[in-house]
Order: sequence, then structure tokens, then C-alpha cells
Amino acid sequence: MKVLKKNTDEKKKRFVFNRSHGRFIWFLFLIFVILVGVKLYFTNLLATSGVRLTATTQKVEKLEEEKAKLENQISKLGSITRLQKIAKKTGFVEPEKVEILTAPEPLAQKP
Amino acid sequence: MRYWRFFLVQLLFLVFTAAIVGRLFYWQIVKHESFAAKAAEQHEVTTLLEAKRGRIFASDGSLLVGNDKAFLLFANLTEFRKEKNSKKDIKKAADDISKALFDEIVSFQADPKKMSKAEKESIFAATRSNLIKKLSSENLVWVPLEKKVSEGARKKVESLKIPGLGFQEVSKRYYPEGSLASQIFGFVGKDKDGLDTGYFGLEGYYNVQLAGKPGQLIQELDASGNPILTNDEDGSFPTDGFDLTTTIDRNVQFIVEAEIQEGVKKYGAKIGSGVVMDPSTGEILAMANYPNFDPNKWQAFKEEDFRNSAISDVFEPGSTFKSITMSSALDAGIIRPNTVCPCKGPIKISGYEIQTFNNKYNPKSTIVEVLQHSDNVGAGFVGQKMGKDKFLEYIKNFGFGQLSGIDLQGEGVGLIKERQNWSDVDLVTASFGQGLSVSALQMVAALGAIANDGRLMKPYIVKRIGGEGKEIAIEPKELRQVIKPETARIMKELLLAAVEGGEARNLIPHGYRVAGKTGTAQVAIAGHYDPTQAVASFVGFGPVEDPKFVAIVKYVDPTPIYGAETAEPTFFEIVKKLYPYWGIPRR
Repeated sequence: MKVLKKNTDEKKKRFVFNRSHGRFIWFLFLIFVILVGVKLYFTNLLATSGVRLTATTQKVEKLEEEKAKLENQISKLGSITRLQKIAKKTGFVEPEKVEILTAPEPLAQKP
Repeated sequence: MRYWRFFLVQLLFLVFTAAIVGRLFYWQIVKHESFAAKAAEQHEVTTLLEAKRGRIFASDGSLLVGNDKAFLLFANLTEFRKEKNSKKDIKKAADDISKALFDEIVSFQADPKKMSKAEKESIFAATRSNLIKKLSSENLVWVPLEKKVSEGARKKVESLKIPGLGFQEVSKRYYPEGSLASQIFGFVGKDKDGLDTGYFGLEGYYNVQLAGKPGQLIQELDASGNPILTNDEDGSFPTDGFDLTTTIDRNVQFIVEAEIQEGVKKYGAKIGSGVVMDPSTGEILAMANYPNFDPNKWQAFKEEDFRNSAISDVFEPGSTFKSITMSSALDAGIIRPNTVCPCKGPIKISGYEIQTFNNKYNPKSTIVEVLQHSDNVGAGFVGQKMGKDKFLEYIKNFGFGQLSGIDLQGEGVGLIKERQNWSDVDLVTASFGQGLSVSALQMVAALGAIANDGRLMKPYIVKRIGGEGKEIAIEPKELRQVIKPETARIMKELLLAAVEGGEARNLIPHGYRVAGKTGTAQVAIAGHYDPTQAVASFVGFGPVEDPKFVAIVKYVDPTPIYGAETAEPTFFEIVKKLYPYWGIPRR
């Protein structure tokens, strides 16, 4: 049985911090700063959007309430019972006779 | 010795640790739920989020039932007592609040304008005494003082600047047309838990759909009891109720309601009812009763005013039922329009004598003449020719003795005897509409089948549920073909002749071709007919060529008692207004 042994003579590679490594770290740092900036920007944006959203929601609620109020007012003013009373007060009377006029069909009855 | 001491210390530590573990087990496991609940009580608040109740619209989209903003007036007694703790103060506060609310409380009475000074004073005294009682409650911290207070009354109470008084916004049902179609709508009251619930009519029948589902908001509180605004708010959103769009034409409803009301007053009837239906679809265009009630202040009315007599009250139809008898016999091929009835005198059967309403007889009457004279003997003759089995089969097919299925609460079924209980005399009396009971709605639906080429339609009142995306449309439903189209065509002409040659022919507006039949039936009480009571009715449809409506007018105990002199004139008054409204030309 053969046992493979590592070549103990192989020289271990020694890490040397060179210029390109430095650039890489600077690059990572730059990315980190950009990400922090972006996060700060969006957090700020979201925070102010939240306020705007709340204000808009409140405005929507207020408008909906106003709409419901106006709808009720329309139905109250347009109530057929109320209109009848007003019509009577202002002197309107029911017509004694109503005639519905119909036009003859514009077709020849015979060929 | 040293070992003993060491052992004792160890034992003490063990016992002490076991006691702590035991206590912790008791608090955290055994008593977990009750402590968690107590903690939640202290740092959480649950707010009920009210769901908006669905609205009800007429067929043209106009609002018939809506919601309005109102307030619950309450008193925080701790705050109130800080400044008003003497009996004199409480009486003064109650007096001021009663004055501020008085106009509104009086407006909730059935007829505020007719109220006497004494009645108004009594209401004021009752309100004041009720407020004193509530404000003097010793063991309570919070008491509701008045429900559903309007914006105007709120401002009046606020101007009093009484400490401890507050308002909570609530929703209030609102009926802009007042008493119009009130028995169709029903009203919204409270259930045993104090929650809004619909009663009678559409409010009752569609309560689940209209009510929606309330939600709840669970918020954490800080040490001062203020809500902590975090994203951890728990609970559920409310689901608003569905809107309903009805088949009701509010102009037709107004016309029918006004005429029925006038008729009840003119003829001194106890109750008047009217129903107008589209025979081709089963859509109810109008349904009115008088007396009625105002659902905005339903508390001021009697329970019998809530009853929709047109669907709930059953009565012996009398001669209007002859239209059903003749349709059945014609369809079964047992008679023809020119079949002749001997009709020489009363029918003698099983010891009974069946007479005509005026004890006058018309020998050799044709079917048209039997209808024109509203001849009980002639109808009995046809019934006998048809036989019990055939007649009963047609009666049931026309929808009598069963619910029509209309979407309203409180429909009456009526009574049709079982086949084994039909005697020979029952067959004859049923032929002219006695010995069986029907509702006004059943009668309209049955005559609608004749108007609609023999097809019986299911009457319905809601044609759309929901709105804005979630909408369910309810389509017309044909129940069955009761008689052949050819029979229906003959019956239309027979019923037209019955009207044009009947007693009230002078009432018919010129050029209006309307088919129908009058009815005057005695009222059965404790198994006997009461000679002092009667139900007068007229059921008909028009225009005969292409029926646009089928309608009934019914009066309970009118004077005079005859349908031809009471219900029929009202029917034609309605017709005179409906024809121009729909633009139907005279012929």
C-alpha cells in the first residue's frame, strides 16, 4: 500500500501585501461607504415618505367622509317625498291628461 | 463535624433552589395564562374597528338607505365628580343636557308636530330623570348617556362645557325617503349584545351581507397609558358590508304608496297593500303598505307597523282566484272560451248551497260572462268539471301553498289543504277563491305567469350585491311553465273582457287595455266567516299585448266592501300614472 506524502520540501508561499491588495481594500471601503450612503438616503426617503403617506391617508379619509356627507345631502335634497312637497308648495299640479304620441313605422305595409 | 456542616449548607442551598424553581414553575407554567392576560390588560389596548354597513340603492342608482355620522354621548364620572359632586350640581347638569338634546329627542317621536305640551314635558322629565340616575351612579367610572346623537346636538352639549362629557363617533342608519318603502327595508336596531342588527325586510334578510365584519386594533401602551407607535400593532382590518341594488323604481314606489295611502283613508280600510311586478323577469318594481313607519325613528312605532302585509298576511283571495281556475281548466282542455255553463241557480252539494254574490243567476253563461259577472256558480261548475286532482296540481304549479322565495324577511306561505282533506264542497269553493289562503305576492306572481306566456317567474327585489369590483348580479329565474303560451294568450283576452265588461268598466281610462279580476272575500275567523269583515282586491296586468307590469291592490275591511268599488278604482288610478311614466301610448 502506497502512502502519498506531501512534499515536505515544497516551500510554503509567503503572503506579501502589495499595491494591488491595497487598491482592493480601498475599493471595498469605497463600496461600503456608497452602500452606507445609499442606505441613509433611502431610510431618510422612507421616513419622510411615511409622513407623506400618513398625511395622504388622512386626506383620503377626510375626502371619503366629505363624499359620504355630500352623497347623503344629495339623497336628502333629491328625496322624491321632499320634491313632491316643494312642487305642491310652488303651485305645480298633476296634469289631467297626458298623451303619448307615437310616430307611424316608416315601412311600406304592402309590397 | 466539618462534613456535617458542609452537608447542611448544601441541603439549605438545595431546598432554597428548589423553592425558587417551584415558585417560578408556578408563575410561569401554572399561572402563565392569567398573568399574561393581566399583563396584556396593562400594556395593551384593543379597539374595535366598526365595519361600514352596506347601503341600499334603487334600480336607477339613487340612494335609498345610507349611513350618517352620529355620536355616543358618554360621561367619565371620575372627571365629572371632580367639579360636580353635589346633588344640586348633578341635577343642574342633567337639566342642561336634557335641554340641549330635547329637540332631537322630540324629533324621534312618530309625529312631533302633533305632540301636546304635556307630552313634550313628560319626555323632558323622563330624559332628565334618566340622566340624573346615570350621572349619580356610584360604582361606575364610565356611563353612556345618549346613543346616536347628531352633529348639531353634539355642538349644543359641547357648548355647555360640562367636565367629563365626551363623544365617540358611531355610524347611524339613514333613510332619506323617510317612510317610503319602509316595510321593504325594515330597520337597524340592537341585538342582545348591543350591536347593530337588521330587522324585517331587506335589513333583516341581508343582515349578514350588509353588516360586514368588524376588525380590531391591538396597540401596546406605555407606562402612562399612551399608545406606543410601533410596527408591531396587531389585529385585523374591518370588512365593510356589501351594498345592495334593488329592483325598486322609486317613482313607481312613490305612485303606489301615495295611492294606497289615499285609498286607505278614503275607504276607511284597516290595511292597504299594493305590489307592482315586471311579469317577464319577476322584478318587484314597487311594494307598498299603509299604515307604514319611518325607519329613521322606528322606536316610535308599533310592532304591527313593521309588518309587510303584502308578503306576510295571507287571505282568502275570493273572485281573483277565478282567473287561476279558468286558466287551469282551459290549459287542461276541459273547457273552451265558448263553453256554456247552465248556471240556472245555486249549486247544492254535500248539504251546502253555493250562491252568486248577489243571488242573481245568468243561465247559459259563457266563460267570458262567468268572469264578467264574477259568477261563483259558473266557477264552481268549471271546478267540478276539472276535478280535485287536476285542479290541485295547477294550484300548486301556480305557486300557491309554498314560499315564492322572495328575498325579504317574513313571507307567509298561505294554506292549501292536502288532497286527502279536500271534500266535494272544497273543490267548488276553491274554484271561486274560498277555503284556501294566499298572499298578495303569490297572487301577483301567479297572474304574472298568465301575462308572461305561462312562465312563472321567481319574484325578487335585489338585483346586485356588492360593488366596485366585487359584484354579484342576480338574474331573473323562471320557475316553471305553468300553462301553455296559447292558454295564456286566451286568458289575457278573457281577463281583458272581464275588466271591460265588468261592473267597474266606467272606471277604465280610455285606451288603456288592462286585463284583470276583482275579488271580495269574507274573512274566516275561528272556522266561520265574519260577515262584518272583508278583503277587497284587484289583480291585473297591462298593456295586454305586451305586459309591462302585473299589480295587485288589496284592502282589508274597506267600506264599501267590494273590490270593484274600492281596490279596482285605486288600481286604475295607479295605472293612469304608470302609463305616462313609462311612455305607453293609448290604443
